[in-house]
Amino acid sequence: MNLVINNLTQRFGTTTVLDDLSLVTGDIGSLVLVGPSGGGKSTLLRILAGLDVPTAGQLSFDGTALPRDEAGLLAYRRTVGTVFQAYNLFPHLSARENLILPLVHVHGLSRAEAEARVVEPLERFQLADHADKRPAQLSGGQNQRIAILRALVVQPTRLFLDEPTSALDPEMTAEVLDMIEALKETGTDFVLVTHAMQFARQVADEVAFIGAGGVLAHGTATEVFENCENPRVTTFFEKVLR
Amino acid sequence: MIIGGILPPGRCVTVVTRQRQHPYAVGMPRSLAHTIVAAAFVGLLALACMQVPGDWNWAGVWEYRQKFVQGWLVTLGLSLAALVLSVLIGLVVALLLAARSPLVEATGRIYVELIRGTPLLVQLLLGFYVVANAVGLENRFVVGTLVLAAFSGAYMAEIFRGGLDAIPKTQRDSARAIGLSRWQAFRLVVLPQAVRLVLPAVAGQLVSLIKDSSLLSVIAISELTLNAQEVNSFTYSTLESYLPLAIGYLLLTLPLSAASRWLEASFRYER
Repeated sequence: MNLVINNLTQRFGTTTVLDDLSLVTGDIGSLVLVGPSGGGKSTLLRILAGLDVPTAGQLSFDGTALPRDEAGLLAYRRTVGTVFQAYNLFPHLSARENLILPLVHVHGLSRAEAEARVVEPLERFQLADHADKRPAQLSGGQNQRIAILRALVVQPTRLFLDEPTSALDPEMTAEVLDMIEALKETGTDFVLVTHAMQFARQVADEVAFIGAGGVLAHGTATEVFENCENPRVTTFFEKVLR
Repeated sequence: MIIGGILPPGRCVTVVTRQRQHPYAVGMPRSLAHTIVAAAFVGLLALACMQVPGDWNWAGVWEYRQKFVQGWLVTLGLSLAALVLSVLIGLVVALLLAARSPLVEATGRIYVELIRGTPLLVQLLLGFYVVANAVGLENRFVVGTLVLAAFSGAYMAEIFRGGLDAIPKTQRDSARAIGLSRWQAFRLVVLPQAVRLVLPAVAGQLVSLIKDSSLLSVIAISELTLNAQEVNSFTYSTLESYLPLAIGYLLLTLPLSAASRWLEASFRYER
């Protein structure tokens, strides 16, 4: 994917969360957004995922601009997958029904086709035994893996992951990160917001450091994590990588 | 209900499970416990009744048994109709309350406040002698049912609004993220969860509605309470008239409560 963002601004009332942000990536498989809380990472991701409309600015993936009207955005959201920090799954449905719902109601598969479609992915990620449990009966890690699967089974153009491990303990974090790594290996494009810095270095084709509503550093993982000279970036890494 | 309403779903597993399983309860089937306690209450009431001076006149009241049956059937019919209507009114008004247009929201709000702020008795009298009269509606059964449904619908609307508000924003976000339209998100994600949350409160409101139907006697609808009052005035046997009245209402409300508990169990998704 090739992402181009020009002069993106997002205001909520009088608060400016993204301030004239611009970013041009190469043709990459994975972009990781890091930076301090409140810096605008999640706001940017929500705009990229077609969930919010920016106050001003343009953005495009592979030369196609994101729509600004609700009908266009709905159509766009149907081509991508998004996973949030927590509570992604619908608690009144089993894991399997959570996977089937978008296939049937959004992508027009029959129930039988949808049921067939989810069997292999559930097995591949060792979730088949848990498929008929409801979210409350699953661990946080299993919940997130099902949520990622739900975004994947519709065969999206790319995935958006908003701090998918921030609500998990280290063991569950590891199982979710393993799954994201597997995505990387199978060539699924994704944009990931995370605080897991080691992991960011591992999977990122490019890293963008978002702070104070703008891009403070951008480049390969090595360029951002090791060779960046912006003091706001280095101070942040000194704190979190200690 | 309260637990499920406040915490995001999925985070309340242990709390609810503990509450449900009663780990420290001694071994007694719940149905047996219910029977024992109900028998104790009836026994106490019977004891109190025996303290009432004078002789019982069950024979006099028995002669009018048909009036109780007819009144009960009228109450059953009125309640069923008002029950369905009040749920529909509640849903519509809840949607008004959730509307983005201030004018629409205000319409719902004013309706709820006016209805909840005035006694049902006044609404019945105004509804029958003023509103129905003005529009030429003469059937008192229809007017009574409509007023009762409108009254209960206002409470229902607030219950539904609370249920819809209790669904976390992340659920709507998730629904949008997987590409559901607004209407699909409401129908497939928000509504099923909200129904689960509001069931106990709705059941309570419906039980109230059945009992409130006794006020329809003021516009001379021949329902259960009016018939009991009449039997009382014919026989001068107050207790013998009103005890069957109480039982008549319980025959309507207890099955409703049981149905609500059964529905709650089948909608439960916290474990």
